[in-house]
Formats: sequence, C-alpha cells, structure tokens
Amino acid sequence: MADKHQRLQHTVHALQARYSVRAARFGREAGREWTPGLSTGFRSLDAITGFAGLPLNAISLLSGATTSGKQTLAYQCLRLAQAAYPRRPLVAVFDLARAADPDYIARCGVDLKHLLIIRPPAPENALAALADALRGRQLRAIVVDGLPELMAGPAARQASAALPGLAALRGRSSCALIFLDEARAPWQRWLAGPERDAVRQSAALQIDLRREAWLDYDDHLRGYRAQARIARSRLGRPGASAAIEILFNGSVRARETW
Amino acid sequence: MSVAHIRIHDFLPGLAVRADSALRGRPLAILGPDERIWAASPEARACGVQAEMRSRQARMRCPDLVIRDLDEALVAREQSAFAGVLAATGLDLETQAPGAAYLDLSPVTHGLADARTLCADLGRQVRAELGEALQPALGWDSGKFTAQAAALSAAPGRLRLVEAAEERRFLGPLSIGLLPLPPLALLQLGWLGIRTLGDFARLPAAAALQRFGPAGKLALRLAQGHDERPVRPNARAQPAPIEIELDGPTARHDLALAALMRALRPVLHDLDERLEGIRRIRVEARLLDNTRCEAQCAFAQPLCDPEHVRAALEQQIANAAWPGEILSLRADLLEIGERYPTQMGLFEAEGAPIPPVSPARAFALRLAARHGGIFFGGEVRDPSHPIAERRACLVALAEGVAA
Repeated sequence: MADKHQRLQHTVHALQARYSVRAARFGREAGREWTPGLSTGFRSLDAITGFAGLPLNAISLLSGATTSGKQTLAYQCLRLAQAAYPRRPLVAVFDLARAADPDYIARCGVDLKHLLIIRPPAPENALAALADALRGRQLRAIVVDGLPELMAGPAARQASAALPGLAALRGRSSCALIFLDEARAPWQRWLAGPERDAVRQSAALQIDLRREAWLDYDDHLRGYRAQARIARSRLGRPGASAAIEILFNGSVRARETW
Repeated sequence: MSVAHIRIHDFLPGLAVRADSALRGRPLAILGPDERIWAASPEARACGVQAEMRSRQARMRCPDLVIRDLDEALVAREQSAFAGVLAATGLDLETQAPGAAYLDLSPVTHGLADARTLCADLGRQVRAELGEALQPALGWDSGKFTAQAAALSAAPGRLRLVEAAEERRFLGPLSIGLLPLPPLALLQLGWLGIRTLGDFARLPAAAALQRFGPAGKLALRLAQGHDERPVRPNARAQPAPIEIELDGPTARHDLALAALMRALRPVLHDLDERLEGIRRIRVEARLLDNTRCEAQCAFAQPLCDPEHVRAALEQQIANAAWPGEILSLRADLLEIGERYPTQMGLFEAEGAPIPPVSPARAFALRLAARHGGIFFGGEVRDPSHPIAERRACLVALAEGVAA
C-alpha cells in the first residue's frame, strides 16, 4: 500500500515537473484553493505563510536590510527546490546587485552544478532573460537579487508593464520566483513612485525580515537571530511572525528557533 | 567520381624540423608574412596555439613556443616537388594547401582494389621524394570532402579508403569542425547541439539554406556524402582583375581601400557561397605621377571574410607607404582555393568522445544565443582555502558567445 502511494506521489511529481504543478494534484487537495509551496526549511515559517513555504507559480518578495537573512533564506529555498526532486532541477540567481558569491551559495547547500547565475548587463535586459528562463520550463526556483536595481531608472516602467506577462509564464512553469528587496521606510516607497510598488502589489507573499540579535558563544560570533514577519499573503495571515536563526559555524546552517 | 586526397600532416612545421632537428618534440609555430601563425606543431596545438593567432597571443598560450618565420622559398620548392610527383601521373591535380592536394583518379580506377594499389603507390613516391619525416596520409572516396576527411583521420603513412555505401557511416561521428563553414556558423550549430556531421546531415535542406545561405546548403550535402565538386586543376583561369578609377586623385588610402572593398565584396560573396576563399591577392595603385606601387597579401587559410581581407590589405598598404596621391587601383586575385576545415578549436578533436554537457550549461547555451554571455555557474576550487574567492569562483557557461 505504501509502495503504491509512493509510486502515485512520484507520478504526480513527475507530471508536475514536466507540465505544471496544476497539471495533476491529489484528490484531497482538489476541493480547496490550492497553491503548491516550496519549503523554506523553517517549519515555523512555513506554517504561517499559508503556502507551506514560498508559493510556486507566484511571486514572493523577501525584504530586509543587509544581514537580515533574506539572501540566506532565498538560497535555502534554492537548496530545497533542488532537493525536492530526485533528478535535481535547475535553479537560478539573477544577480542584478552583483552580490552573488558562489562560495557562500555552496555553503548554503546549493548544488552549483545545477545553478545558473545570470548577470544581465542592464536591468532592462534582465526582464527579457527572465521571461526566456521561465519559458524554458527547466527552472524550479529563481531568485532575483536586486529589486532596487530593477526598479531604478527607465527599467521601472518596463518592469511593471512586463509583470502580467511573467505571471502568465509562471503559471505554466511551476517555478518559484523570489525577489529580494531592501527594507525601506514608507516615505521612501512613496517617493519611489507607483512602478516600484508593482512587484509588491503582484506578490502572493511578502516576508519582511529583520535581524533581532547576534548570537555569540564564548565571544565568538556564531550567527544571528532574525524575525520573519508576513507582511502580505494571499492565503496566510498577515502580521504573523516567526523567529529564525542563521548560524555561521564553518558553513552556513539556517536553523529555526524552538 | 574517384578522388584521392593526399595530405602531409603538419607540412610547414615538418619542414622546419627537417631543417633543424633540435626543434623535434618542441612546441613550434610558423609565422607567415602577414604576421600571423600559419601552422603549429602538435606540441604547440596541445598548448592551445592555433592558426591565425598573433605571435604574442601564441606566446601567452605557450611560453616555451619556438616561432620560426615561414621560409617561402623552401616551401615553394618542396611544394613543387610534392605537386610534381602527383602531376607525373598525368591526372587532374588540385592543390588545396601546402602539402595537401586532390587527385582525380576517375580515368584510371574502377573500384576499391584499383584505388588501393594506386594510392599506395602514390604514397610511396611522395615519401621517396620528401623523406620519411614528411610522409603523407591518403584518403579515397567518390567525393572531395569525404576523401579529405578520410585523409585527416589517417595517420602518416596510412591509407583510408571509404566506399560509397559506407560514406554516411564514416562521416556520421566526425566533428562538424571539418566543414569549411565560418566559425560563427559552426558556433551556432554548437548552440543547437549539433556537434557531428551525422547530426548536421539530418537537418532539412531548407533549414540549412535559410539559416546559413547557399554555403550552408552545400555544406549539408557534403555532410551527407554528396560532393559533386570536380577536381579542378590549379592552372585554371583566374578571375578578371578588378579595376577602380577613383573620382579624383586622393592621398587618403582609407578612401581608396573603401572603394576597392566595395568592388571586392561581391566577388568574396560568390566565393563564400562556393566555400572558397582567396589565398593571395595583389593590389596595384597608379599614382598621380604615373608611377605604380603594389602590395601583396598571402593568407594562412583561404579567406572570404571582407573585414579580414580589408584589415590585411590596410596593414600591407600602410607598410608599403605608397608615396603620392592615388589615381586608380587594380586588384588581382592571384590564388583562389577551397576553404580548410576550421582550426579555431571550437570542438574536440575528431574521434575524441564529446564530453557530456551539464544541464546548466546546455540551458545557458540555449539562452545565450539570444542574450549573450551573461550566464555563469559556480565552481568549487579549493574548499579549505582561507580566502573565499579561492574556495569557489564564477565560471562563464557560454564563453565567447556574443549577444
């Protein structure tokens, strides 16, 4: 019986990987609004997002200041996206901020052989490359590192206009699209204009991350604790928060607090 | 048709080694009159030295490289000795490159057995004339392209005969680098995952024509083993010289050269469609005082790329320092020949297994055709190194791809 169930699960996963996550689903999930999720690796955070993690086929926005843990959380999701399928799928990082460090990504557990780092020469080129990457249907998770760069200057209007097209592509590709944004005060957002908020408005999930405390042991810095607050969620409860810990012990190991 | 291709592998380095035996086993490159590498020994090629490189580039790839200037007199003498042996048969002879020639055996052979005897005899004669160090490899088939591929796959002193029924099976696993297409076309094929002649031969003719023009269609037929190009004796009529009367006397060589290139472009285009190129060109200028000056260019490989030809002519004219104002120009295409297989090192050597392409690289190559070389992957170099940049680094997945 267990074997049968396992085979059914494999078949459903294979169909979802090839066609779309909406192509096949279990009967128990058919009656309700169902959006598949990609685990973040933190059970407490998965529990409050409403998608059991970050949504597939939708935009997630992780925002926070430097050293708030948004990049580590995003890389953690890439690792889990690779681990979710027996044949490791490809994942990608759109490195608009020119901040991707392969050593750090590898330490987060991402398999570099199945990772693409894409560095478009200008933000305007990023959108076309992003659309083609989604159209290829081989990527299971894409991290766009540098929303401020994408939404700066003339690319902003173009990006906000391209978002509906990207939504249509995402629907067919079963790919989690994760944007990383800097934390900004409300008045800064207001000054930035409506285009800049286009990604925020179309995101199914927005998590604000804030570093809470450095963790040290015997005067050695060993990581930090951050608060992840759900700022917006189509299925979850906005305002809920969970604490996560990111440790530096030789390699980066994200650990949740209990 | 019955065609034999006789090829002395590494003819130019071989001549230099024969003249100075201390060079044996050392990386050696031959520098042509256009200040580019014309040929490299196998040891130099193993270090990444390729034809058409500048000497500086070659030295960067191989610091121990020995560079010798091309001894044109010696090459001409040995080449005429080589051609003389083959011409003595009384058959049509077309020299393709220094130390490489086609011979039309149709009048004297009627099958594999005849060809085997005759080719073996030819090989012995060439070896007797040029010595053991320069013994040829021979290929035989019903077409020029397959005969050439057979000779390239044969070791020196060996013979490779391909029967008509075996052509496709023989050509199938060989690299598309054998096709005399421009490097960009070969790169595009590489992006499409087409690495062997067999893959290329399966493409529809209309697609090859649409993508690469008449040259692509011809290359497709070659890959399928259909080569109807005859063996043309080199003494064939040269194309008429190109004469240009300038609007008025000018001291600006760039303007004169631009006018010459406008006239030369259609000729180069025609050659390109036939997979041919210029080996030697002479440009003669008539000056205002009615004196005549000339510049002559010889190329490592037959060329049909106008920009390349223009750059070479520009350099030669600058070196010649023509005095006075130019009234008219005249260009003579002294030697035309079929293009060689590419030597750009785009693909693995023939016969070597093609390494599997990682999924990330395959995906990047597919997108790189549109977006250029913006795709990178990570590579762990030394996981225990104290410096982060040494532990892992970015590597380009679609190197050399231009948007």
